[in-house]
Amino acid sequence: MQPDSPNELFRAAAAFVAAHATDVVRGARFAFFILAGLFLLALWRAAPAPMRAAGARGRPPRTFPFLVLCFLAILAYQATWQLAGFTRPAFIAFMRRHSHRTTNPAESHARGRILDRRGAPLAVDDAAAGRRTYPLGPACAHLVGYADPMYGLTGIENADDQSLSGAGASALEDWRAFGQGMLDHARASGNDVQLTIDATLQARALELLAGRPGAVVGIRPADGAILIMASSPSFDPNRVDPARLNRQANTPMFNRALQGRYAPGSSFKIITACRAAEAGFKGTIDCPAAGYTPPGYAKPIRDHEYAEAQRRGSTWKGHGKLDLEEAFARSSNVFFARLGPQLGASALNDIAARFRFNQPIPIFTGSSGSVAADASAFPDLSPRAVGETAQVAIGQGRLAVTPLQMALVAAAIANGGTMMAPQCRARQPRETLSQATTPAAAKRVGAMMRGSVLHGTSRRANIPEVDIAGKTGTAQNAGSRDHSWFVCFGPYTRPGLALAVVVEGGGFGAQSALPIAVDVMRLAAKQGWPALAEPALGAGTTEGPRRASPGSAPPRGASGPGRAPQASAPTGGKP
Amino acid sequence: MSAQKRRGRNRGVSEPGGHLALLLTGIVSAAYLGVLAAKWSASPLTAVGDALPLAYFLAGALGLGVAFLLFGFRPDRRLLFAALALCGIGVAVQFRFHMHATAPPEGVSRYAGLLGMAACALAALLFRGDFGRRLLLATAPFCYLAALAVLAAMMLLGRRFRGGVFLEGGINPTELTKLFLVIAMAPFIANRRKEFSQTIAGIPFPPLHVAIPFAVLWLLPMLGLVYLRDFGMLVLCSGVLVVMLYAATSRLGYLVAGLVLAGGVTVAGYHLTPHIATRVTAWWTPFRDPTGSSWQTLQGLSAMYTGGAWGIGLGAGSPAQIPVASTDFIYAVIGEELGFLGCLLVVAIFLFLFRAAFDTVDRQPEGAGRLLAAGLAALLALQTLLNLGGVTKAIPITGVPLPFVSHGGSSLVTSFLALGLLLALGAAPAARPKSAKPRTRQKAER
Repeated sequence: MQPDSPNELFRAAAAFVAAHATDVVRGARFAFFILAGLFLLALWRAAPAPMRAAGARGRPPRTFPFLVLCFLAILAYQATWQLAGFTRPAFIAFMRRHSHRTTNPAESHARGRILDRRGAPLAVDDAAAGRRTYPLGPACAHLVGYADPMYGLTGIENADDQSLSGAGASALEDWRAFGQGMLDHARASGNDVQLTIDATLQARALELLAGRPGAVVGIRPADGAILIMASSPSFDPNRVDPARLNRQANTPMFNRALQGRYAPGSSFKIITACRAAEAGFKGTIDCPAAGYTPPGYAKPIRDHEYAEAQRRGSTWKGHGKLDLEEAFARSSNVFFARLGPQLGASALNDIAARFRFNQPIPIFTGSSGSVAADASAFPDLSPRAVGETAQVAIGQGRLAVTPLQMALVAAAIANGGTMMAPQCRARQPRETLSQATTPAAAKRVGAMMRGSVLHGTSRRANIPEVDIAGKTGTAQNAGSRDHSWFVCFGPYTRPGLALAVVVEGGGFGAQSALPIAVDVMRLAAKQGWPALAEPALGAGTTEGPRRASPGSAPPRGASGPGRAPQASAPTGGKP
Repeated sequence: MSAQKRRGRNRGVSEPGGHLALLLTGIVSAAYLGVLAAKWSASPLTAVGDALPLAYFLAGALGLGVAFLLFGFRPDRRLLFAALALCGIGVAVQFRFHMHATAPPEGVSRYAGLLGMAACALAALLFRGDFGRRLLLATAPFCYLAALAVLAAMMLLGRRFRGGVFLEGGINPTELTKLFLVIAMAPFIANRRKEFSQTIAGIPFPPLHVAIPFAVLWLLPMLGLVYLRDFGMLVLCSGVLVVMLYAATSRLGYLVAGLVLAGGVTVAGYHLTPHIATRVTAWWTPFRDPTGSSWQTLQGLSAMYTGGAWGIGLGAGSPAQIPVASTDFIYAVIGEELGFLGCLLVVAIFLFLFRAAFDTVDRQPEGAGRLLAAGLAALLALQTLLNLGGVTKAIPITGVPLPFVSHGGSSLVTSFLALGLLLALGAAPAARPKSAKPRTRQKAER
């Protein structure tokens, strides 16, 4: 090194600094803090004697303490952003999207967990693997969705993104964690969100669907809590790849429970029967084998027994005169096709509106969006369109229902005619969505559904463990095999679960959908109805301590508060 | 080396003071070294020029000390060193804004620090002592005319750039008007202290023969500021005026009336000017338009959150993410790189500066001087409050730079001028040397 070259010397020094840049930067910051502290101390000691000029009169007004207060207020407010910014979900969401700095603490936050109603994790951050994991795999994939760095957000992950990524109320429950988060933002974590989903029932439902396209929706009638929402085929949110999944058969990404719209078939007769019961229908209707041909129609509407007899090569005499109960149990198309126009188009329009057709039904309102079931379609029936009224009365025609809609129908019947707003966030207040029908009508239709199980088309649901009340449905659809429906609730006297099961191309309702519903009911009964009937709004029982290891969910209900009134029977309705 | 020399400045005086100069050099050098290390590790291009801003700063500070020493001028060291420390921190934090900037407005203001220190020395030496103070107060009418002249010139010649009005070369002499107005109003209010103290039912209400000329005198420049749409300056000047009225009369009513008026004007401006409406909305509901009007605020807060408690290190931040970070949002960059702790330290230095500034008020023998000192102190304090409040989203953004720290020539020179005047007003009389242990002596006297 030449001593006469200061430039060379400077470059050498610069190279040394650059080589140890990280240490220098850290050291410089440390030195700055220490020196600035000492500097402040020196300034403090440099204060001269308070001097008053000779001419000064009176005591001067004190402005400085007020000024100090102002600055302290600003610093305190600044701390709510700089230190505790993770309590502002919208801010963290902003940073995740718009902060393109080399370090972005908002991205390193642990995302809040998504829990089932018992506190079992449905979605957790795997700190070791550095990714989001879904312990249930495909079982709850559609509702929970996924949070993938490449493919974005869906489901609850999307709808409650702000709350999940920024902490708030649940972080404030633990002051120590809060303090650690303030000093080290990487340790801050988002809010948990608890769902009403029952992981066990949910997993069983998907297992029972066994890859066949279809859906199972289970609702607690008393409060509208969604316990099951399974859509099949499903996908594994742990290994998500929308492009590949969308090429697969039967669109596994499609949430059939909320977006699938099917003809309801005979399961719609529950609603037609409700309207008849409201009208106090007492008489009988003749149901001949020749069926019923509405005016202007070429083909008669016939009962399914006719087609079966024809297939066997024999003949069928027809039902003869049937009353409402018997016709419901036998699921007579001819009866309901004639009943429809008799009740009138406007009467059916009216009850469809009360059962919340033609409007989307929200099931989850989150911090970033909401999850809702698609609107089920009910045509605006004209009094002159007798044929269409007859078709709709038996669940055909321009009708399209989501599985959630049919589960709500069953839940409303089970809850004495009151349709509770469906909800999949735990601990939400009970809300009435609609007074779907009168308690008396609900009681009568509930009895009809029980009759269908005892001696009608739903006989195979007559099991000793649970008194099920249900209705099968076989929906004709153009060009492929019939969709199989089963809509039910149980136990009959103390409903704890209302179910709607649909299996695409499953044939008769009793054939594919019914066994699934029966199995789910059996498992629910085995788990114990009292626990099921416990309201989701029971506070303080479910959420485990934060940072508890997944799976160590605390037992429910040990110290739970009083139970909400249960729907004792279809009779004990709450108007 | 520089510290050694300035330590010598205090050799003859009984009190220790060299350590302040040493610590000042240490703070600024440490901050600057961190920034340099970050730059050099990012790009292998090193040049002696990289060290120039620090050299300029240290040379300027040294020159200031030597000048004061030569003239036997003994200012309040807290004022001087606190301001220099803030300026030095500003130099370090702003370093990377200079890197690619050779064109105006940034290029010219590279020497603004030096210019400011020179102006400070000049003002302090010119207006020191009893004679200096009287000279300063005698310029009051001319200062008022100068303020009007500057505003008129800006109206005629100014060009709009980033919401502000500038002259050729990015010079913004509007900054000077606040200083001119403080000097102009101090004797005016002081000479009518009794009238301004009159109250009706607790509300300050000066008689009309005082109130009307006062209102006209004040509204004239304010209307100019409204025309220039420099609402930050308007708020600042009016705030300082209110504090001066309060300092003159000890009537809390002026502060209350000032706050009420500020609220009223904000509400009126909200409904009348889209400019103010946008800023108020961006402040009150920042997430309504996060990528538009609230973008700057939210990026500033994001920078602070990234910094957290300890900061990510000087030079390690990404100030380019915040629009115009070097001037109005320099505090956010400090928050990012030095963390909340660094912000606390900076605010503490500011508070020492204001404490010292307000202490000069008590040293004035007569009313006009007292008011002038109070006005200058309030000017720096309010400007700091407005800037920090805006950056932290505590109040709407007013667009005023942070005194001494922010980048920006005219603003820096004006702050240093105000500092020079305060130094002149607060300097100890030559006849009474300061004691080594002032506090104990004070107690003994009582």
